Amino acid sequence: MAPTPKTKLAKRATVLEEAPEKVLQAVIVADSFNRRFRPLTLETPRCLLPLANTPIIEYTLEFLALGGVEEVFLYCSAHSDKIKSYIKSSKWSRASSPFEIHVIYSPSIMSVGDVMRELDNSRMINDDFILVSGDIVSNISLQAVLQEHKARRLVDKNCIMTTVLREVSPNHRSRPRGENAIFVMDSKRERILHYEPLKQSPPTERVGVPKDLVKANPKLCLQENLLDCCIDIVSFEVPPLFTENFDWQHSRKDFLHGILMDELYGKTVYGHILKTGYAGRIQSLQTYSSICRDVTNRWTYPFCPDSNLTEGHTYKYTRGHIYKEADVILAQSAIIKENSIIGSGTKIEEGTVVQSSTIGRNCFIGKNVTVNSSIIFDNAIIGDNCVLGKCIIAGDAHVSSGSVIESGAIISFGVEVEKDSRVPSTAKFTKYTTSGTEHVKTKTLNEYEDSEDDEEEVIETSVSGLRAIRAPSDSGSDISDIEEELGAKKKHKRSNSESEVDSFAREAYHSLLGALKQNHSVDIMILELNGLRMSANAEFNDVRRATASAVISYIYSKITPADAVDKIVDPVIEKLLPLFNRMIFDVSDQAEILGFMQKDLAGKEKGGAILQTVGMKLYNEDLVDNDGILTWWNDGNGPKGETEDMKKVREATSQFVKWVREQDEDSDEDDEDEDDEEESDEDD
Amino acid sequence: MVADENPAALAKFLKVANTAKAKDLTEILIGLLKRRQIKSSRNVAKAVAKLLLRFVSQNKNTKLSEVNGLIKDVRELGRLLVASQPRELVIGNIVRRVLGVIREEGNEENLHQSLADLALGGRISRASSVGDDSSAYSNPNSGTVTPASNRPFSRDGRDHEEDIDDLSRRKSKVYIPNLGRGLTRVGSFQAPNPSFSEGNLQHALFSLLNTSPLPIDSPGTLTPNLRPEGREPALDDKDIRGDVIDGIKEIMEELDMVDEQLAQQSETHIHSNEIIMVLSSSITLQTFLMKAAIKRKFTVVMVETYPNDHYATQEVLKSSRYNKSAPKPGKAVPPPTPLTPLTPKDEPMTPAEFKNTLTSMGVETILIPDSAVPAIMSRVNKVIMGSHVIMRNGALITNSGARTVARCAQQHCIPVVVVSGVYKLSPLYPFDPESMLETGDSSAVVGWEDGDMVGGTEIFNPTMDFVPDSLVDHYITNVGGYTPQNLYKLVEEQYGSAVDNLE
Repeated sequence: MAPTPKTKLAKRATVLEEAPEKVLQAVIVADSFNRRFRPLTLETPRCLLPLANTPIIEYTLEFLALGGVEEVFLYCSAHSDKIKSYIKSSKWSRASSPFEIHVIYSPSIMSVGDVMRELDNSRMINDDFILVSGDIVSNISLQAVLQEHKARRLVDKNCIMTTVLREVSPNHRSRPRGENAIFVMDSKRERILHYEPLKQSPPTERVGVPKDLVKANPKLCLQENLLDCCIDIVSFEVPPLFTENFDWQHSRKDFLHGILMDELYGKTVYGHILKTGYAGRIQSLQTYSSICRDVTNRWTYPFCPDSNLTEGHTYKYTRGHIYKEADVILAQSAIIKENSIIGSGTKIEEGTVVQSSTIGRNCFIGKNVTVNSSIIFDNAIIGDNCVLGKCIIAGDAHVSSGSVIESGAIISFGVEVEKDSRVPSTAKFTKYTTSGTEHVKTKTLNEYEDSEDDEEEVIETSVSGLRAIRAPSDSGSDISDIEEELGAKKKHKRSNSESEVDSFAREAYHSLLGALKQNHSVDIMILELNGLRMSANAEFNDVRRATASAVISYIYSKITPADAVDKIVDPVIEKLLPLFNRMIFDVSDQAEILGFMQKDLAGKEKGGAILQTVGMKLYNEDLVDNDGILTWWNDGNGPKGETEDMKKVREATSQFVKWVREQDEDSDEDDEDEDDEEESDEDD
Repeated sequence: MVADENPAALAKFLKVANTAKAKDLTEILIGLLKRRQIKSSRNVAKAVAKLLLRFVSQNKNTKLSEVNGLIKDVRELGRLLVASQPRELVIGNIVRRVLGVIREEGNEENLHQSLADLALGGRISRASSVGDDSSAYSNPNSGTVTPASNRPFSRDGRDHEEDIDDLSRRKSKVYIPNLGRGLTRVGSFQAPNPSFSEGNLQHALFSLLNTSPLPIDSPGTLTPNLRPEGREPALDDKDIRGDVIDGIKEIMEELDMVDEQLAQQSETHIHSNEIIMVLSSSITLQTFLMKAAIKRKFTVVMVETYPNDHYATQEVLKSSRYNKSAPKPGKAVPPPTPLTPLTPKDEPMTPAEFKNTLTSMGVETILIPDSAVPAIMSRVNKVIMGSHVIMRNGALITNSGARTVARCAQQHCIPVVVVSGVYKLSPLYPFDPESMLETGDSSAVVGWEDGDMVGGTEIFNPTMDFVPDSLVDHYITNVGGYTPQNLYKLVEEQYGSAVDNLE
């Protein structure tokens, strides 16, 4: 993947030779754009959920402060009012804050890609910046990473990103299940050459590495043991790239994969592999619970409860990783075992055993309760004789006496659990309803069901206890589509793989058609199409199908009875030549695209004429050769289920085909030459 | 994680401190302390002193009549800071020292007033720069307490001063800020009223026991401060801001000078051909050793102090190893730097600077793992440790692993000597030593990447150790040597009798 500057994109890469005392900027994406923390995130944004009794965003901000960041842009979408008011009242908004913080609310943000596009529009970025999500917990030194990135930028001007990767063992508890990927790196383990996300279910069995990559690099390093914590040092050239590829959503699946797959950009991405330090991202409930443990066990030092990051906290450390705030009332026979955190005002009654749990402020825990590995938010009430497993009990929830909450259950804000009930591990209770009115029942308000028979989740339960809800990849932001969410999510998920391709075809069709109508340059169309193809992992025949449909419907919309068909068709095809060049590789492709066009034109007025003109034009431009046309013609002749309409269209081109056939017989050698030329075209 | 200081964070803070408002500065410092960006005792002390300087200079209550308000404000500030990092006891030390300075200033003025009431004041003029140990003023209205100038009578008190210095075993350039300014007042007591001077004499004798001497290199302050009489009516409106700031500045100066002052005593503690076990990679201790190495030949056994300090310890030794063993081909040998004369420097030495000079000193240095301490102890003559904080009762908080070493030394009847600046001496009594110990990053013990260990074991990494007073034999401070049993006297000197609860 030699950096071959090809388009004006590359020209944009004006690297600043030296950055004299520029303000170090960071962008926080405070929205997770998925629903893994439902139903908790129905009421609170994920970044304000407490992690070891401190809002998650605090860890991210402290991390940035530690790294010497001087300006922070915090983008939020769902629950933006809550985030805004939180930040406003926090120490970060005061003059003493180590950085200036701007909370930017945009309801249209649905993905990281949108944030980057907003960022590009805002023109607030003037140098390389740090891109993190609002749920990072880390104590690494950003300065070291930054210095390395800057030094690299001076050498390699095409380096647009350095991503921080932490080496961890494969079965590490803090690795997000289902979020892993293979990084193909160069022999020095610096440059990332290829990125391939791994699917959890069905497990990815093969990973394709582009042939060229292997040719160009005799030594490759494939690593799966890297924890991608989504801390990126991003060059200021990246937001414009997102603007140009307006379909890029995900910073990894789309952007990283896209940039690396497409030589067109000629950009390079580097990885900073950490061997020490802590870096984790709360991506799922599973990582939430494990990172909570990490914080308690002081892996994230100095960001531990007894550092009292939030003002007003008074945690004190006692041996065994037990943290207690002032004014905790413990009955004499209550036992607090290791790895526990207890907030102030909490009262724990006789005979209760608390282990490896986080308990918020002003909670009440009754007699003879067993709390093991639970996370309990502020103001919760747990009745006598309850047994709590590895569950989450949100604020103001009331678990009546005698209840058993199994591992994996989530009791959201304000829910009351009836006496002596048994909450299964799959239960997710919430009081939240779409209408906003609260049911006041005693038990099981909107039961938030998930696919219980989902194998993947069963696996995760056994691994971590807290289930990671796998969200559909195309899910929106935290708050959207609540009704749908409360309904059956299962089906949505199951149909994921098919719908992705369908949606690709639809999106590609619309984007191309739109581009044609607005007379965009063909380069942009290519970029768009490529991005779409990669994000949907679509095949080339899908691309051809979409292109054929788009081109035909564009042409069709232009056709007027008065004009000659070829006057319309010729300029369009001519313009789109580079596009066709990138999707037609061999004879069968040629036949296929003609077939698609035929299908689209079936039953339309002048269909035959259009098809003939297009075919001729393609033929003249060497995009389609004799073999291609004949293959298509002959295919159609076979029993391929050609409808009457389609047949009609095909018949109209018989004259052209006949002529082609004659040509073919004349000169076979020419064909080969043309073939060669075509191939060489594709290579660059 | 190396228990290394982060000079960048401190430097940045000190820079910001010149412009920021005291309130913002407090919050900035709290943030830095919580993030452990400033963490070694000295850096914390410097930052706190700087903050207090800014705080006092921006405080409104600096009129003499409002001195209690100022004390209250500073105490509040102290509480905030202590709460932000309760394990850095040096925060409390500095705040208490500054409170002492303020009290002195206040009491000094009050004293003048009371003396005036006693009809003695007609001849006493007010000094612009004042200050002395507050204990002497604890009862300003009592007629028996006299002004605490321990240089009585006249300007020729200079000789007298040096006598005092000798008596108090403190040689040269010992800065005790709250006493330093006593000099200024020397000239202000012009009238040797018999009863008055007698009182002075009494006090001078008393001060031999419980106060520290003066810097001899500040003769300029001896200039008599002649003031016209009859200034009493304006007393209450006198602004003590400048005086308090001077006092804080002297504390800051002291922090810069500590290493040099300690190093000057090294020759009396390290003798030729001794084998000395050293536990600490701190610059203070290295300076101490180097100074001794100018005249003496001895062997240093460095304890590695894994896992929190071993990088720094190894760093200190690396270059000396290069020089001793044959250099490996391809590896550049650092050229032996010429012996830098140990004149007082403006800046403390960096570890890099140290490692070159240590090598050139020709001190034979052996690095041993912590586990080898008991084995090698019988051959050691002396154990020298650095400190994090010294408690009032003579107990010590320092690098983890120190207690084992001290206990082992006791078993072998080998003296344990602690080298430490007096600013680390805390007036607190260790009722709950465990709460004063920081527990650090678990990943120093086991890498976080090791999933099996992280999920399957409980890991603890205390970065500090509590050494009870019974295991320490001697303290070397920049104001002289003390036994643990006598440290309380030093506490009295430093902080007076006032008790400030900063918890």
